[in-house]
Amino acid sequence: MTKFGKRPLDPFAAAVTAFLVPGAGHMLLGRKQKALLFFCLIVATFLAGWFISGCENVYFARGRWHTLVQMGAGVITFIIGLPGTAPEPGRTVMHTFEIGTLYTMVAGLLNVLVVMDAVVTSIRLRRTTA
Amino acid sequence: MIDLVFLIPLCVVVSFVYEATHTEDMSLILRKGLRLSITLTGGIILFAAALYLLDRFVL
Repeated sequence: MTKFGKRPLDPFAAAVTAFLVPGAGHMLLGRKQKALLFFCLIVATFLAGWFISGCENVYFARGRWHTLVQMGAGVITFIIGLPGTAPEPGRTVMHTFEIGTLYTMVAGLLNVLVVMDAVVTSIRLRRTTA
Repeated sequence: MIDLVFLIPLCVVVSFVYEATHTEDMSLILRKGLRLSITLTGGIILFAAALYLLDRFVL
Protein backbone atom coordinates (compact mmCIF):
# COMPACT_ATOMS: atom_id res chain seq x y z
CA MET A 1 0.00 0.00 0.00
CA THR A 2 1.18 3.53 -0.66
CA LYS A 3 0.91 6.38 1.80
CA PHE A 4 -2.46 7.24 0.20
CA GLY A 5 -3.74 3.75 0.95
CA LYS A 6 -4.26 2.86 -2.73
CA ARG A 7 -2.51 0.50 -5.13
CA PRO A 8 0.17 2.17 -7.26
CA LEU A 9 -0.75 3.33 -10.77
CA ASP A 10 -0.87 0.47 -13.27
CA PRO A 11 1.99 0.28 -15.81
CA PHE A 12 -0.13 1.22 -18.83
CA ALA A 13 -1.53 4.33 -17.15
CA ALA A 14 1.98 5.22 -15.96
CA ALA A 15 3.28 4.89 -19.54
CA VAL A 16 0.50 7.02 -21.03
CA THR A 17 0.80 9.82 -18.47
CA ALA A 18 4.61 9.77 -18.67
CA PHE A 19 4.38 9.99 -22.46
CA LEU A 20 1.89 12.87 -22.48
CA VAL A 21 3.72 15.04 -19.94
CA PRO A 22 7.39 14.26 -19.15
CA GLY A 23 7.66 13.27 -15.48
CA ALA A 24 3.88 12.96 -14.90
CA GLY A 25 4.12 9.18 -14.58
CA HIS A 26 6.71 9.46 -11.82
CA MET A 27 4.65 12.16 -10.12
CA LEU A 28 1.61 9.85 -9.93
CA LEU A 29 3.85 7.04 -8.66
CA GLY A 30 4.99 9.24 -5.77
CA ARG A 31 8.49 10.01 -7.12
CA LYS A 32 8.06 13.77 -6.97
CA GLN A 33 11.71 14.87 -7.09
CA LYS A 34 12.48 12.64 -10.05
CA ALA A 35 9.32 13.85 -11.78
CA LEU A 36 10.38 17.46 -11.37
CA LEU A 37 13.89 16.68 -12.64
CA PHE A 38 12.56 14.87 -15.73
CA PHE A 39 10.00 17.59 -16.49
CA CYS A 40 12.49 20.45 -16.18
CA LEU A 41 15.26 18.76 -18.18
CA ILE A 42 13.13 17.42 -21.02
CA VAL A 43 10.88 20.45 -21.49
CA ALA A 44 13.86 22.83 -21.21
CA THR A 45 15.80 20.84 -23.82
CA PHE A 46 12.82 20.78 -26.16
CA LEU A 47 12.13 24.49 -25.81
CA ALA A 48 15.83 25.36 -26.11
CA GLY A 49 15.98 23.39 -29.37
CA TRP A 50 12.86 25.12 -30.65
CA PHE A 51 14.16 28.60 -29.78
CA ILE A 52 17.68 28.18 -31.16
CA SER A 53 16.27 27.07 -34.50
CA GLY A 54 14.27 30.28 -34.76
CA CYS A 55 11.01 28.66 -33.56
CA GLU A 56 10.41 26.83 -36.84
CA ASN A 57 11.72 23.28 -36.54
CA VAL A 58 8.62 21.65 -35.02
CA TYR A 59 5.89 21.11 -37.62
CA PHE A 60 3.93 18.29 -39.18
CA ALA A 61 4.64 17.70 -42.84
CA ARG A 62 4.65 14.74 -45.21
CA GLY A 63 7.98 12.89 -45.09
CA ARG A 64 9.33 14.80 -42.09
CA TRP A 65 10.52 11.88 -39.96
CA HIS A 66 12.09 14.19 -37.38
CA THR A 67 8.61 15.00 -36.07
CA LEU A 68 8.04 11.33 -35.25
CA VAL A 69 11.06 11.41 -32.95
CA GLN A 70 10.09 14.83 -31.54
CA MET A 71 6.64 13.41 -30.70
CA GLY A 72 8.32 11.36 -27.97
CA ALA A 73 8.31 14.56 -25.87
CA GLY A 74 4.51 14.31 -25.66
CA VAL A 75 1.81 16.98 -25.73
CA ILE A 76 4.29 19.85 -26.11
CA THR A 77 5.09 18.66 -29.67
CA PHE A 78 1.43 18.92 -30.64
CA ILE A 79 0.97 22.31 -28.95
CA ILE A 80 3.92 23.74 -30.85
CA GLY A 81 3.80 21.61 -33.99
CA LEU A 82 0.15 21.72 -35.05
CA PRO A 83 0.06 25.49 -35.70
CA GLY A 84 3.62 25.35 -37.11
CA THR A 85 4.37 25.35 -40.83
CA ALA A 86 7.40 24.22 -42.80
CA PRO A 87 9.89 26.92 -43.86
CA GLU A 88 9.13 28.01 -47.42
CA PRO A 89 11.26 26.24 -50.05
CA GLY A 90 14.30 28.27 -51.07
CA ARG A 91 14.30 30.44 -47.96
CA THR A 92 17.46 30.22 -45.87
CA VAL A 93 16.85 28.96 -42.35
CA MET A 94 19.03 29.88 -39.37
CA HIS A 95 22.37 28.06 -39.23
CA THR A 96 21.32 26.57 -35.88
CA PHE A 97 18.24 24.94 -37.42
CA GLU A 98 19.78 21.46 -37.52
CA ILE A 99 21.28 21.57 -34.02
CA GLY A 100 17.91 22.84 -32.71
CA THR A 101 16.22 19.89 -34.39
CA LEU A 102 18.76 17.60 -32.72
CA TYR A 103 17.89 19.10 -29.31
CA THR A 104 14.17 18.54 -29.80
CA MET A 105 14.76 14.99 -31.06
CA VAL A 106 17.00 14.14 -28.09
CA ALA A 107 14.29 15.49 -25.75
CA GLY A 108 11.78 13.16 -27.44
CA LEU A 109 14.08 10.14 -27.13
CA LEU A 110 14.88 10.91 -23.49
CA ASN A 111 11.18 10.95 -22.72
CA VAL A 112 10.90 7.44 -24.21
CA LEU A 113 13.53 6.38 -21.65
CA VAL A 114 11.54 8.12 -18.90
CA VAL A 115 8.35 6.32 -20.02
CA MET A 116 10.15 2.97 -19.75
CA ASP A 117 11.45 3.91 -16.29
CA ALA A 118 7.91 4.84 -15.18
CA VAL A 119 6.62 1.43 -16.36
CA VAL A 120 9.41 -0.44 -14.55
CA THR A 121 8.86 1.63 -11.38
CA SER A 122 5.13 0.92 -11.50
CA ILE A 123 5.67 -2.84 -11.92
CA ARG A 124 8.20 -2.88 -9.07
CA LEU A 125 5.89 -0.91 -6.75
CA ARG A 126 2.94 -3.17 -7.51
CA ARG A 127 5.03 -6.27 -6.78
CA THR A 128 6.17 -4.92 -3.43
CA THR A 129 2.66 -3.85 -2.40
CA ALA A 130 0.92 -7.06 -3.61
CA MET B 1 33.77 23.12 -34.75
CA ILE B 2 31.46 25.66 -33.12
CA ASP B 3 28.59 23.15 -33.33
CA LEU B 4 30.44 20.95 -30.86
CA VAL B 5 29.79 23.61 -28.19
CA PHE B 6 26.06 22.97 -28.60
CA LEU B 7 26.60 19.34 -27.65
CA ILE B 8 27.82 20.21 -24.13
CA PRO B 9 24.39 21.19 -22.66
CA LEU B 10 22.94 18.14 -24.39
CA CYS B 11 25.51 15.93 -22.65
CA VAL B 12 24.59 17.42 -19.27
CA VAL B 13 20.89 16.73 -19.84
CA VAL B 14 21.48 13.19 -21.10
CA SER B 15 23.79 12.44 -18.12
CA PHE B 16 21.25 13.53 -15.51
CA VAL B 17 18.30 11.77 -17.16
CA TYR B 18 20.37 8.59 -17.62
CA GLU B 19 21.45 8.57 -13.97
CA ALA B 20 17.93 9.37 -12.77
CA THR B 21 16.56 6.31 -14.57
CA HIS B 22 19.15 4.09 -12.88
CA THR B 23 19.20 5.45 -9.33
CA GLU B 24 16.52 6.17 -6.73
CA ASP B 25 18.43 8.45 -4.33
CA MET B 26 18.31 12.10 -5.42
CA SER B 27 21.69 13.16 -4.02
CA LEU B 28 23.31 10.19 -5.74
CA ILE B 29 21.61 11.16 -9.02
CA LEU B 30 23.02 14.68 -8.77
CA ARG B 31 26.52 13.47 -7.86
CA LYS B 32 26.73 10.75 -10.50
CA GLY B 33 25.03 12.96 -13.12
CA LEU B 34 27.56 15.70 -12.52
CA ARG B 35 30.44 13.25 -12.80
CA LEU B 36 29.11 11.76 -16.04
CA SER B 37 28.47 15.18 -17.56
CA ILE B 38 32.01 16.32 -16.69
CA THR B 39 33.39 13.16 -18.30
CA LEU B 40 31.34 13.62 -21.47
CA THR B 41 32.18 17.34 -21.68
CA GLY B 42 35.86 16.48 -21.32
CA GLY B 43 35.48 13.98 -24.14
CA ILE B 44 33.90 16.60 -26.39
CA ILE B 45 36.65 19.13 -25.61
CA LEU B 46 39.34 16.53 -26.36
CA PHE B 47 37.59 15.62 -29.60
CA ALA B 48 37.35 19.28 -30.61
CA ALA B 49 41.04 19.79 -29.77
CA ALA B 50 42.00 16.73 -31.82
CA LEU B 51 39.95 18.02 -34.78
CA TYR B 52 41.57 21.44 -34.49
CA LEU B 53 45.11 20.00 -34.38
CA LEU B 54 44.36 17.67 -37.29
CA ASP B 55 43.00 20.57 -39.32
CA ARG B 56 45.90 22.86 -38.40
CA PHE B 57 48.89 20.57 -38.82
CA VAL B 58 47.98 17.48 -40.84
CA LEU B 59 45.29 18.31 -43.40
